[in-house]
Amino acid sequence: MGAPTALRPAVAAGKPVRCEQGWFTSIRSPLGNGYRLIAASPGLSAAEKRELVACAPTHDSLCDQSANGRGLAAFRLSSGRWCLFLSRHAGREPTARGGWLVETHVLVLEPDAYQQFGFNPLCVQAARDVALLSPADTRRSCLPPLELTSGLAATSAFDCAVAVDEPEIKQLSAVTAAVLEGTPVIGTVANPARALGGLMTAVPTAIRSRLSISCGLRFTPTRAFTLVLTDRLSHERLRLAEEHGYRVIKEAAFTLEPSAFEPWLRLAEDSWRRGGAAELDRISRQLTETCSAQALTQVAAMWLDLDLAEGADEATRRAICERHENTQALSSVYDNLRERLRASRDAHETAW
Amino acid sequence: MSSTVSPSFTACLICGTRNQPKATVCKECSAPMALVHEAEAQQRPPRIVSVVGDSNVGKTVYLGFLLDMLSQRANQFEAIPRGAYSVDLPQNVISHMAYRMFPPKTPVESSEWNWAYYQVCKRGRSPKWVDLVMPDMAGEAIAAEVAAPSTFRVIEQLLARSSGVLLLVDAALAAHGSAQPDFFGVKMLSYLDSLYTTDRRKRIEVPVAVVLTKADYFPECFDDPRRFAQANLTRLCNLCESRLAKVEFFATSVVGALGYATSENDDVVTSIPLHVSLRGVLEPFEWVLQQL
Repeated sequence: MGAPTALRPAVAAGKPVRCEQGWFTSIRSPLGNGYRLIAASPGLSAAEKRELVACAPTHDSLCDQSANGRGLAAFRLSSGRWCLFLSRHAGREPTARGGWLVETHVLVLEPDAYQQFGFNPLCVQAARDVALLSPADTRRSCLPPLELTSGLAATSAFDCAVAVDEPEIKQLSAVTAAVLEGTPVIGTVANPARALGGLMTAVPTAIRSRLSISCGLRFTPTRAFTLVLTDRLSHERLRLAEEHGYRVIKEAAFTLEPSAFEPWLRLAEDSWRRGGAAELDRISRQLTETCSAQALTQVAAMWLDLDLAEGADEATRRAICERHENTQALSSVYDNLRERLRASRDAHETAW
Repeated sequence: MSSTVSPSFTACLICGTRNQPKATVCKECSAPMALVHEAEAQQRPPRIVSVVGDSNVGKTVYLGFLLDMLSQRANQFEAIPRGAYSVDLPQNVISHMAYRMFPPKTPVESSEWNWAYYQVCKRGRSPKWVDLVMPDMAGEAIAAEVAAPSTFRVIEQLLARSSGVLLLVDAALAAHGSAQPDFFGVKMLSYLDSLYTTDRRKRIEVPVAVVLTKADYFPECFDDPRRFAQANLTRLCNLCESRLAKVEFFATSVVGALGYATSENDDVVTSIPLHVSLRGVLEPFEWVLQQL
């Protein structure tokens, strides 16, 4: 099946967003060697630095053991600001004891700034990739804050080039269910970044705004974030994960548990299969209020009916409209979609 | 000794956090809960001896060989590992060195550290068994904790509970004129000072062995380690004299000869430990043990 999925957010010109930045890596300098925060902008507080240093990725932390390995994490600091780790391999480990040197670009954003990226770390990463100076240029102990282009309006234009198979869709759905239910979850997937790209399209903003994420990094209790997407779990790490209360959803070895979010999940699966992830993402980003299972079920039902109404005859279209006319809206998104349904009905009637 | 808070919880030996009885590692600091179970079985309080030092100073290699020498009954010592996890570190170090490779870097994440719990005694007229807990901590984590206390709570708790400290300092770097080992040592001691001292007029009673590693680069170091320290690690030496009641200097070396290798398609130069030649590994530990 040629099912595409939402993967890489595209960024177009948009509102400029200022954020604090730093570089966490291992270099040999007169001040010592080993992993540390080698450069930071002045707006990073001492408490924030202490907090992020304790969980920043170091040697052997990335899942992808190739020279091009990348990983990311996003979590809320005690100060209330959001911290993002954008990590990659940057050559061999400098003390030549095997493995790769991990270089992490640390970004710290105000909640309002992160919201402009839809609370989606992939959107921040895409904006950073556009704005970024080469690390060598930025290796001064004091850096200026970084200016990113939010491009939120354009982030729904997802690159739908990569197809996924049915088991992958089902696994993504199971991980999404756990995220929606608020259960800490670890998904072991072949391509963590791709999985995160797809998954975020089905997570409403209200949930994204409190979701801590680790993607493409090895699981460790020091990065015990709510959503962990990794490549595999050893026996020891699996035991650790279970002790820390995680639901573990392994690739090709998971059981689908009944979920209160079933209609929404079916809708998400269908969108991923049909290549409608961008539309799903657009709806998810509008869901900024508290998202109960009932509210999402209502939105999913309305969305399906909108699709149905598009190609239906007049009588069916009217019946669909009537079905929703007296329903009490549980979210403003449902209200908006209902307006769209009415407009569609009226447009067809005028045309007749 | 009793670390059980209530029948339904077990307190971590390092940080005191209450954990589920079946937990394998502490949910707060990731120390193995097996330490608690072993300590309870022995019915005597374990002593923690911490090996600290900067990144790449040689903590893992030193500790690995020390534990192996104790297991091999060097110098009339007898050591019994409590739990298979205690053997992981020496096994890792010895295996790598046998293949002429240095062991991989110790990860910063505390859940990945190797911990060793040994019952140690020196045979003699009245052998006294001591339970020793020795973790192999990452240099970066130690440096981060020293620079900003409470970054790694596990290190703070561990050092606060330590009965003895082995402070490893890179003698090769110091002998080549780098001030980094000296400054790191001073920072480390200041950290310990703030951790242990309640009355500034009193000196720290916890024994600290300053271990000059990679001393084979500068063999004169073995003749008089204190003098070497006075000449090359002056700041550290002065602070030791001012603040430590029990301090001694030792020189140590593990690798007899190093080779350097690189491949055609890689510009990274790798150091190859050509052979192992242990010197001065046991002495610092023995001295700390005598002070306990």
